[in-house]
Amino acid sequence: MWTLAIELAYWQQTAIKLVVVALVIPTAALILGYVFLMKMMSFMQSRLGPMEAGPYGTLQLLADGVKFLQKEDVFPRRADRYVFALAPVVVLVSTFLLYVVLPMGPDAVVSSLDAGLFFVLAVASLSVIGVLMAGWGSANKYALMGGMRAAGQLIAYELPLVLAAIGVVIQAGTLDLNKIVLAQANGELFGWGGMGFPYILTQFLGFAIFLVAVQAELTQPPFDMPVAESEIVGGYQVEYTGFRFLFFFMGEFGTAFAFAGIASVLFLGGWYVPGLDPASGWFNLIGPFVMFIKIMAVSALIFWFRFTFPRLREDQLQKLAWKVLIPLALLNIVVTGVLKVLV
Amino acid sequence: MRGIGMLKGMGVTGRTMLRTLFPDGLRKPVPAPSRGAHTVQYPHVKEAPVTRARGVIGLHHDNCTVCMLCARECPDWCIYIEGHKELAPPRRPGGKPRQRAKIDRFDIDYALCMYCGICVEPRVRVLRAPHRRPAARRRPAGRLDGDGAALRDLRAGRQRQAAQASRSVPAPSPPEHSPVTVLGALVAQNIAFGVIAAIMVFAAIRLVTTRNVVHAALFLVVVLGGVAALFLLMGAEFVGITQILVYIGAVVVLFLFGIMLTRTRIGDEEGTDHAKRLPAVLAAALVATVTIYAVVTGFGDAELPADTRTTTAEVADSIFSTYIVPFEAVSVLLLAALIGAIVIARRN
Repeated sequence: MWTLAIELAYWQQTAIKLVVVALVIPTAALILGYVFLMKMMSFMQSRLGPMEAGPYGTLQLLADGVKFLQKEDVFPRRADRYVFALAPVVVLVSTFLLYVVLPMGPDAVVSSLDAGLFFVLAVASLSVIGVLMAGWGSANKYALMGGMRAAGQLIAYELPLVLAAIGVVIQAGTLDLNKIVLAQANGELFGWGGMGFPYILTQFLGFAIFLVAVQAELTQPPFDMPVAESEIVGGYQVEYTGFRFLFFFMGEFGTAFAFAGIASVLFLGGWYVPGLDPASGWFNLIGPFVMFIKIMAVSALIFWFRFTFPRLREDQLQKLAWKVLIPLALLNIVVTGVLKVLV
Repeated sequence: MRGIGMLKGMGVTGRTMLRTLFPDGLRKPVPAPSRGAHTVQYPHVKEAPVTRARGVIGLHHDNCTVCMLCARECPDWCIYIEGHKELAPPRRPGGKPRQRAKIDRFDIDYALCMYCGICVEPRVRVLRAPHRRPAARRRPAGRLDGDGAALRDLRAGRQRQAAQASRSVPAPSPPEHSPVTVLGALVAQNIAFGVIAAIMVFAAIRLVTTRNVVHAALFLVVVLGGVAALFLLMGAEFVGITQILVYIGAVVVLFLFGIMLTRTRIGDEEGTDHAKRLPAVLAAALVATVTIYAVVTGFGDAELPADTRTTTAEVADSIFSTYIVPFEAVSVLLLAALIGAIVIARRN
C-alpha cells in the first residue's frame, strides 16, 4: 500500500487544493476549447482552424485571452452596474464549486462530501442566478430575452439531469461520488469481477439523457437559443466585453469539463481502471490521468453532438425536456428501482 | 425514426473529420490535415485566380491622362482624382514643349465603391487587375501603387477620427486581500459564523431598505446562501445543500422571473416603501424577541456535541421511518397544490 509520505496541515492542504482548482479551470477551458472547439469542429467542416499562433495554432486561445484582457471594460450607460459586474463572477463561482467534489482519485478530491452528487446538482443551479443577473443588468432587451430563455432552459433541463443521475444513485446506494466509483470498481459482471461494473451497461438510457441535459445546461448548440447570435444577438452576453466575457467563456468550458467528469464518474467508473486493486494508493497518482482520458472521451461525444446539429426552436426545446426526457428518466428510475429490489 | 436520422447526421460529421485528419484513409492513419482540408492557408499559399476572376479596381498610373472620365462615370462618385498640367520636353529638337497632364491624386473610397466596373470601360484607363485580390494587402513598402496608398490614406484618416472620438478609461485595480491567519478549528468555526452572520445581517437590512426590487431579490439570495452556509457549518450537509437547491436555485429564480416579466425598470421604484414603519419595526422586534427567548430558554448553556455531522443516510432513515407520516402528508399537500396550479392555469 502506497501512502503519502508527507503530512500537511489542514490549511496547507486547503491552499494546495485551491491553487490546483484555480489552475485546473482555465486549463480545462483551454484544452476543451482548443481540441474540440477549434480543431475538431474545423476538421468536421473540412478546414484547418487556427494555425498561426504557436505550432498548429495551439496558443490561439492564449492569444485570445490576452486580447480580452486588453479590452476596455465597458458598462452600458443605463446598466445596473453592480449586478452587471457581478453576474459573470456568479457564473464562474458556480463552475468553481462543481470542482469541489469531483474525485480524481481515492484521496485526490477537494472535499469528499457525503451528498456529493446532490451538491453538484445544487451548485450547478446557481449559474441561473448569474445568467438572470447578466440579462437584467445589461439594460438591453435582447440580453433580457436571452436571460429569460436561459433561465427557462436551465430550469427545464435541471430535472432530467437530476432524474438521470438518480438511476445511478439507486444502483450504487450512495450519493458520495467516490463511493459511486468504488461501487463500480467492486461490482461484478455475471460473477466476473475482472473489469468492475461501469454503470453505463445498465444505465445507458440515463447516460444518454444525462448528456443531452448537460448539453442544454451548457447552452451549447443545438440548445443555444439563450445566446443565439442570429436571433437575439448573443442574448445575455451581448453587452459583455473583455475579461467579463472571458469569465463567461471560461465558465462554459469549465462547466463542460466538470460535467464530463461527473458523467464519467457516474457511468464510466471514474478514476478506476481494471487490473488494479481499487483500494490501492496508486490511484491517487494515475487517477487524474484516467479521469482526464475519460473526460476527454465524454467531451468528444458532447462536442460531436454540438457540431452536428442546428439550433432547435424554443418550443421544441421545452417539449423535448418535459415530454420526452423527463418521462424517460422517470421510467428509468422505476425500472432501476424494481430491478434493484428484485435482483 | 428521428433518432436514426440524428445518428446518420453524426456519422456525416464524423466521417468528414476522419477524412480531413487522415486523407490517406484509415489504412494509413497518418494525420495530415493540411492535405485533407478543402481550404487553403491563404497568406502562405496563394490560389491561382480563376480565369474569369474580376479582382479589385486599380489604376495603371502610366496610362492615366487625367481625363476624369472615370470620376464622372462613377455612379457613387467615389473616385477622387486631381491633376495638373506640366510641360514635357519637345518631341523634336526646336519644337514647342508639349503640355502633359500629370496625376496628383487618385483615390477610390472603397467604403462607397460597389465594384460595378463602369470606370473600367474601354475608354477609361482604370483597369481591373485580376492579379490583385481584395485580401492581398501585404505588399512590401516602397512598392505601393496608387490604390494601395489611397487605401492607406483613407484608413489613416478614419483611425485619426476614431482616436479623437474615443477616450479610453483605465480599468480599476482589484482590491487587495488581507493575508489569511491560521487558527484552531473551533475558533475558525466561530469566526466563520461571525463573518457569515455579519454578511447575512447586512444583506437582510439592505433587502428591506433597498427600493430596487431586483436588488432586493438578489440580497435575498445572499441571506439564503448564508443560511445554507450556516447549515454546512453545523455539519448538516444535506439540509444545507437542499437550501441552495430549493431556495436559491428555484424559489428566488421564480421571484426574479416574476419581477423581470412584469414591467420593472432598472433603478429605484416608486411605491416600494411602506408608510407604516413603526408597526413594521414593532412586529420585527416582537418576532426577534420571541425567537431569541425560545432559543435561550430551550437550550440554555447546553453545548453542541463535538461532531454534529449527520450523513445523508441518517436523514433518509429518519424521514422514511420516524417522520414518515408528516413526510407523506407534505407530499400530498404539494401534489394538491400542483394540481390546483394546473387547474387555475388551464382555465384561462
